[in-house]
Amino acid sequence: MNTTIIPSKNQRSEIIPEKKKKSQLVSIWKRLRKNKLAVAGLVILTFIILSAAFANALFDYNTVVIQQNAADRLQPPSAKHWLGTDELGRDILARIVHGARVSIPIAFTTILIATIVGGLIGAISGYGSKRVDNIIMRIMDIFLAIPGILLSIAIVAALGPSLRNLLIAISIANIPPFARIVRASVLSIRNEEFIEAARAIGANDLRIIFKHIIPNSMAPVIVQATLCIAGSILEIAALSFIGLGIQPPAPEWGAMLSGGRQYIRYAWWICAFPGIAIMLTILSLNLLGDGLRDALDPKLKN
Amino acid sequence: MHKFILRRLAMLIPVLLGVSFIVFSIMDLTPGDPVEMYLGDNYTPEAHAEMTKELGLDKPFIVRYLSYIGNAVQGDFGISYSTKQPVLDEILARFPNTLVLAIAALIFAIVVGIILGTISAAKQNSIFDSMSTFTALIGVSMPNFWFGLMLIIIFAAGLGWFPSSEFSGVKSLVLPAIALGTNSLAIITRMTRSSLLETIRQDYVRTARAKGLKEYKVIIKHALRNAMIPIITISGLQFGFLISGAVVIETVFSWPGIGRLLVEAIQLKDTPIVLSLVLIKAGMFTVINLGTDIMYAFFDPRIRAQYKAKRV
Amino acid sequence: MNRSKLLEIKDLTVEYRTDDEIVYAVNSLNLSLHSGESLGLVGETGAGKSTTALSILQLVADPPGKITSGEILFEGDDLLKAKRDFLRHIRGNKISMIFQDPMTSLNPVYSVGDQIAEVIYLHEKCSKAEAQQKAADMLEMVGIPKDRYDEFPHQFSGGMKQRVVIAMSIACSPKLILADEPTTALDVTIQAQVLELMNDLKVKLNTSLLLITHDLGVVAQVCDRVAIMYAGEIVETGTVEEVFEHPKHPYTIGLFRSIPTLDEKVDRLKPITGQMPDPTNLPSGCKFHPRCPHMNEVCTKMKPAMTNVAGTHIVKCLIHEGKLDPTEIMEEVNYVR
Repeated sequence: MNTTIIPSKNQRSEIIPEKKKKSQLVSIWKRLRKNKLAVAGLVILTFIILSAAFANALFDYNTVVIQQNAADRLQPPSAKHWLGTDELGRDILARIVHGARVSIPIAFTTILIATIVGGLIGAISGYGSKRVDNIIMRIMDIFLAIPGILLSIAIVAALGPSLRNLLIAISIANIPPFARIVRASVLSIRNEEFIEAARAIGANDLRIIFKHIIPNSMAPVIVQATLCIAGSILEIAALSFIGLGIQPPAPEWGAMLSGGRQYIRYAWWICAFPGIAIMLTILSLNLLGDGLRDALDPKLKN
Repeated sequence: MHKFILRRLAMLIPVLLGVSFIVFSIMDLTPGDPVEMYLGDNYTPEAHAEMTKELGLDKPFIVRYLSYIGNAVQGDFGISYSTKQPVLDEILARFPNTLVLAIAALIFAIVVGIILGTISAAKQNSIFDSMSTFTALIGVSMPNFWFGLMLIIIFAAGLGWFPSSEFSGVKSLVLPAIALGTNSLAIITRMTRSSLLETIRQDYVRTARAKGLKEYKVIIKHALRNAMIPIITISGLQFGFLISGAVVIETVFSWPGIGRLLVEAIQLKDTPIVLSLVLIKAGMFTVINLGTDIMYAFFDPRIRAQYKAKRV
Repeated sequence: MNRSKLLEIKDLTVEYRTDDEIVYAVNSLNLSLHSGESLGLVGETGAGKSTTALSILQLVADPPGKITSGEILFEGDDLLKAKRDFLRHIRGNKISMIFQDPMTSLNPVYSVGDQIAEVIYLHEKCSKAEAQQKAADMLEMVGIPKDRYDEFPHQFSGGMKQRVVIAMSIACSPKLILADEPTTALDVTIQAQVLELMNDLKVKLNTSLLLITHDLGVVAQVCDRVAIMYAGEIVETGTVEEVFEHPKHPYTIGLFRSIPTLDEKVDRLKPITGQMPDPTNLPSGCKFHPRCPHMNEVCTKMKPAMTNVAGTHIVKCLIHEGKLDPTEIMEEVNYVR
């Protein structure tokens, strides 16, 4: 990936980067596969996503996840309820598995929004005039001056707790890092020869952005996105824990912790297992993110 | 140097204005009538009209924003809807508790983090290294409020070594500080390790070894000192997070700081307190980051020289 | 040549091991140095010169470096088997080292004076104040005014930094100084100053010097003896006169030929053809055979041994063992035989 291909001014220039990209992907995958921790992260994440996808086949939402069962209250882990039951007699394993259906799609959506919006802002900033760049980056500095969780709390507190507001809050809080990353990579490649060459053959700005700049800034964006999804999972859980996120009875991990808090003296399992689910998800994303960073930029690896 | 600090402080002003504008705009979106909230049971249409006028809520957005800022600069952050007390008094009463907790957590994180990271780097690829790397990985992946709950289950409810939620003396500080500091600890451990691995490979460390220094002295005096800048940066940033982002952990331990105040205010829809707290926390976060910036200079003569050069 | 041997390296082998390959950096190297003598170790980049010097003080980075076999006798003690404490007592005190790049070999966060005082305080039983006093004297000795004691490395030029490194290396009056390309990173004019300084100090302090360089001119200026290194082995060694007047090994001959002279007009430089062999995959037999103009089949199979050709002049080449005789260099070869 260190070889810069300078396209000649004919059709071949379109073909070479394609080929290069493909072999690049293969070599990234090869490097990633060598990294045991990253593979472990990928396996855990795949497992979590698969169980979320087949959650309905494993546990029925209405009868197991939502329906209260006074007779089975606060049961410790057993053969019937592997991870025990909560204060309303619901199976904790079932709620954790269904909880993944809540947290993971929200986390991915928020970061997808943040990546697109942040990426566009960053691309405009890096590609635009000095003045535009200055204004945009000062605004981003202001957003970065507010810790993400605090900004999310403020937004949800103002707009009221709902799924839509949660999405908005976490997306906005995650925009600045993407804007900065994309801007930085745009600035570093906008003066490279292949951009000049593209301009010389008459490609317009939009074409240059989509055809050259975006593919070239993909690597740091993907790494950042992986790590931000982990952060997003944490923020969803934290907001739900203080009552600003997903509302009960929906099985959200943070909300489960909040519900079980009063019972920790007699029923440790209510709080222990949802937290482990959060931790495993974040851990797997962190491992994968670190692995991707090393695989995408082997120079950085020690 | 002073000039540099002054200039950085001057740059704070637009950032803080921007932050306050964003936060004020967000709060302005709050549905519901704050006057109703404020009056509560004393609600009458006349009182409502009078109060609206008194609070200046009939004025346009930008006027309200400017007057809020004008008052805030003079230390007047308004009146709490729920307690009818000045917001600043409410916050100042709680702030020392948050400060104590954040400092305790930071000290725990820095001391343990630097020790773990240093041993890890010095004994790279040893069992200790793998263990501390793995622990750090778990540490950054754990939600701190969950870790706090686990600490309560084990050390307060189970073993009874520490109180779980009562607020008394140093003993009650231990669990919240550990719960709050563990994320930072993990981050500082990782940063120390990677920064030290970088400096250990430098030529001047080889020079130090060639002098015949003991290995621990080579690591601590020559390598660690040079590895400190990123460690300080990350510690400073962590302090900013500990003091401003520690909203949830205070709730878990019923710690009477400004984080818990924020959660309570959100539940009571006490907008003046929420607004002021977010503003103050963001302000502190920014100021601490600036402080971190300035601290570099004391650790690296090259940066110190740059500051001096700027004065001319 | 009856003086005692100060340093004797026997069969030293050093490898760098990474996940996918092994770099054979030094291969059964033999070298000796008498006290008060200065030896130039000459070779191309990658020949293993620095690794040899680092091995003496066991400063080869491990991982990936590993000293796999050999002995390094210093005043009769094998440094490779020495205890850590003994080794630390040797480092900086009996044997000191001057590194290639003065820009990076000083610690940026301590004043230059304190960095010199550190080594004095460590090895000479004296107070901190005395160490500082002596460090200031050392600065003067290498031509830096005392009052720059408290300045930091970034305030010095490259040549000045190298003077500081030299002051540090002579501070404890070592028996042996290992100088790893001390002038490579410096400007030509500064190079001359630094070399002169080292020459003066060597005479003044009567220390031995192992000077690593790829510059034969520097060797002629400073050294008594010279060893030519190729692919981790010494291929030729002798006094400066012996080797410079009558180079024997085809590699050495090539090295001298590649230096342009002022006497004759040449259109092109005459480099040795080919590249240094890949140190992960060294050639069989004589390691120089792929580039040797006199290469014969026997060279690909047989490893040459050290052959004494005259006086202290030793060559590692099958020609001089009489295993083959290419006529064109025989007249050169037979100067004493």
